[in-house]
Amino acid sequence: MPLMFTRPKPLDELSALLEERPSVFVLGCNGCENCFGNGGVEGLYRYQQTLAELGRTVVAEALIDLACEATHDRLWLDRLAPELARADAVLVVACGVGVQVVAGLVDKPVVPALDTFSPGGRVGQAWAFESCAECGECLLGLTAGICPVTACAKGLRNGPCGGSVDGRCEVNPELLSCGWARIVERLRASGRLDSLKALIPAADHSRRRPSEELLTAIAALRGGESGR
Amino acid sequence: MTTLRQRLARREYAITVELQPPKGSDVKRFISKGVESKGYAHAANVTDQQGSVMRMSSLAGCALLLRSGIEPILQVTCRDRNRIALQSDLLGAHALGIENILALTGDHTALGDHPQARPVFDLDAPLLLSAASCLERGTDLAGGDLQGAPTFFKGAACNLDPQDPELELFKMEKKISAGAQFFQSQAVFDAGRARSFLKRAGRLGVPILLGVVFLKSAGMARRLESIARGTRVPESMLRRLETAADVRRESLAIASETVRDLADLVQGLHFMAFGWEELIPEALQGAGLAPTARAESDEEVTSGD
Repeated sequence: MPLMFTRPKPLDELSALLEERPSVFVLGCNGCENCFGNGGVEGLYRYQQTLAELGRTVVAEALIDLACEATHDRLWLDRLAPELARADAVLVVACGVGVQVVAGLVDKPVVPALDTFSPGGRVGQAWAFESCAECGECLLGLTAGICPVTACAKGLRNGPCGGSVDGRCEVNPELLSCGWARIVERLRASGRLDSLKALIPAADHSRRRPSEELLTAIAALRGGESGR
Repeated sequence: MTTLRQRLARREYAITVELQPPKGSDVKRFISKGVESKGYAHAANVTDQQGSVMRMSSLAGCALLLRSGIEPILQVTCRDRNRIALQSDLLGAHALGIENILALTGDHTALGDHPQARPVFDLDAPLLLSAASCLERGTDLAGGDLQGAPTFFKGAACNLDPQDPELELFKMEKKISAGAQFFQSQAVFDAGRARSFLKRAGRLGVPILLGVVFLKSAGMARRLESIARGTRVPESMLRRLETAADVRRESLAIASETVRDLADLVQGLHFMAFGWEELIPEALQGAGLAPTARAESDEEVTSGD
């Protein structure tokens, strides 16, 4: 079983995230059994096509063994540094964890190709280190590659609350940083702070739920019992 | 149209005061504070379980004030209710004759007296403002038609002494485009810094009410910085409170000075007195603002539209 469940982001959302970003560096993930069927070599081919349809140029592409491992990413990002320099954005065909790790390594806008959703139930993941909530509508392309759903104690979508002081969270200033302060810092460093003026719509919690197909597949694995 | 809205539209000074509903069912003190406020304020905010401490609902508090002829401002936070409950409460508020709202994100539940509670935050302050705007247009957030569209006078919070002025301005702009028609600020203690920020914020074209808190002691001032995060109290003020013979007098003097220094850049004052409400008329006088705000335009509190 893969660890992270993904599905392609709706095309209109992807197109909006790549607006005024003609040259794209594509980074695919080969992990978690080829990223739930959306990654791997086939995923790269698929997004080559998608980008061509959207009128974007692919400056380079790389298939990473595990996009969530910074050492694996660095290997390719260093090798393809000249190509990366020419790109307006990095499209990451990976789960929300992979996208965030890549976003921490490049100083280009990072765009998630996929939405990561939850099949329900988590095992062995500490809340303090959670980076992807599998919410099914990835915001990383709007938030400098840092997830406000997990990095903000309130999961706020439209900037830090009044409780953010000195970059620390009101819930526990000693132990928790303010995720939005980190987003703001990264957006400001890349001259994109004014993107914060746009309202990010309320979460669509219906996208968190697994699809009918997945529910059917899980039921089949359990011998026809959905368990719900 | 509410008195608050009317005054701000006419560029007349507006005075508001924050009142807390009781923790319990006894509303006598709450109502008498409200009745007193008629002597100096145009409208009274009713807090929505400030600091995540469980109390009587803001909606009930507003309805009680309205019955006693006091114009309420409904504070609504996103902490406890999802978008269904929030929209439902807004419709109910309008039906009861409550039109002024202050849309807030709200403190985290971990800070209050029920840290075991689930924090909701289905919406945030800008999204709550846009939800209210959406209802005014006759549809709900899911696009469904409403039987009768409410009208609101929609407010939001701001910090006039922010650590990051550029970011605070962006947040204010975002709230304005989501529907904010007035701002009530957090308490200000550094008039110099607030002055330079207000010169920029004033250009946004939305009236701002200056937040005023009476510092009850140097200790309270220090606690305020951790409770009302984002509030900054200068060292010089702490020293004044520590060395003062009469702390109440000194606190009053500090508040009056801040108000006087900033009065020309704001369209009103918002008092958060934490029990020292009786100082408000004097503070207004000290700042050269007559505490007879209500007497001069004793308009009837509107209900309905």
